[in-house]
Amino acid sequence: MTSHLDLDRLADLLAGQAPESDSRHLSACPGCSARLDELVSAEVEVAALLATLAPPPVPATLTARLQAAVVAQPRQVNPRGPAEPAPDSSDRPAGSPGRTVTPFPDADRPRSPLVLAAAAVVVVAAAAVATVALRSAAGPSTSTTSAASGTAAAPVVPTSSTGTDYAGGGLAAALPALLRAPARAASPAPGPLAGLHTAAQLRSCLSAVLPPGGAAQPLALDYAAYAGQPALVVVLPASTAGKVDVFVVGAGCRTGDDQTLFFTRLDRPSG
Amino acid sequence: MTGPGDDDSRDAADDRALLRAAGEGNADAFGHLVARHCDLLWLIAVRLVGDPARAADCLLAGAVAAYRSSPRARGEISVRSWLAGQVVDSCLGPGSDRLDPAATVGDGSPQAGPDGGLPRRTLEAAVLALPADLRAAVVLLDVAGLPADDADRVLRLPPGAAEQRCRRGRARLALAVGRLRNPADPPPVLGDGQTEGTGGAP
Repeated sequence: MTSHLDLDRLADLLAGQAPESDSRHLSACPGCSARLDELVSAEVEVAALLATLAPPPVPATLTARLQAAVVAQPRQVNPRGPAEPAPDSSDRPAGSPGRTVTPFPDADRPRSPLVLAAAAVVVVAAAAVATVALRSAAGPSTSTTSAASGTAAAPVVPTSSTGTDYAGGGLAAALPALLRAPARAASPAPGPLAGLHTAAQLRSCLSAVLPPGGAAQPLALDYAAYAGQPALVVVLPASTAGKVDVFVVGAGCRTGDDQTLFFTRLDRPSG
Repeated sequence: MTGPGDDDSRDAADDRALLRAAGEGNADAFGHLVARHCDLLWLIAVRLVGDPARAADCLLAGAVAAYRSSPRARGEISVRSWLAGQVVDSCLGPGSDRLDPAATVGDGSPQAGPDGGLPRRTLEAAVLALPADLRAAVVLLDVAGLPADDADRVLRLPPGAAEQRCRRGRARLALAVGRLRNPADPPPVLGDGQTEGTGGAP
């Protein structure tokens, strides 16, 4: 006589995946048959409960972090064009195309892609400190030569302190003025954004939001607010011509924790 | 899966168009695509890993992997299911507990305690206590509502295997949350095959 059916084998019967011998046992064993009946009603209840399990609310910053993480990715354009089958994928289900792309380094997996991007930027920045002034020539037509003197670390960027709360919009309208603001290096200032007024934290924050291998410094900064919180607006050149990427980050923004509150891509004002 | 079929097919066509644009390098299109499915992806990530901070991280990593592989995405399953698969891979992939059954939280198995003496858990905790392979199937099918065929492909399983794992997972959950008395305590074998309880087999 086959031994009684354990829970997995009973479940397999419900899934139509049980061996014939289990089906035979069931028809001959009132005990297992009764257990199966119990399982049928119990699993209906469980499935109904599972379908109604509410998750915690989606974090308010998740969408912005997603946008920022994606924008930070170097483009990988398929030379065969999009949506074609990979040549080696004949026996691979569609859920696994990720195997053919560059994986994250296994030895030091970042907690998030943003951390990876930030780490890459730190390396780039370290190598590029001496040439900040040269690189910035690609930015807007603002004077940046002072970056090469003194503590080469403080980026010299068109900087505003509007205090505007951009949660209700207005970034696109403010953009031309932000880009035309006088260029200056970070200098200490009081207030809730005092940390980001110091060269050290500003540099740390920028390393978290600048794309790896991309711009060496932002196009503009605005000490402002977002949804009632003090926030720094960081305007970066976008990977798409004629566009800028705008990050709105929290007061604690630093390497490894960009605290992005909002992200958007806007048309770059002409002139 | 809610709403009329016409809306579903229109949404699916929009998804494919956005994915095609993403594959051509349009980050905005990809952002829009993920935003359309953000609630579903968040639900999957939270149920797979529990902790919201970890869930956000693995959702982000899954989205980035999806963006990187978007030029190679194929149309065998819906874009929605494909995105779900990327998040599953990210949450339960290398470095997570997918390949390490010992890493489950608590015991998802029904062997503990006599007389149904398993500690009662919330259903959420019981899902997290399932072995990763069963948890993934339960989350994709019962929590996220993916079609069984898509779940098989996402989990790289032969046809019907995701459903089988889901049924096993449901059974363990029913036991863990007290919806099912504990039938799996091995009936003590008394002498020549007599068993406790149901009177044994004829």
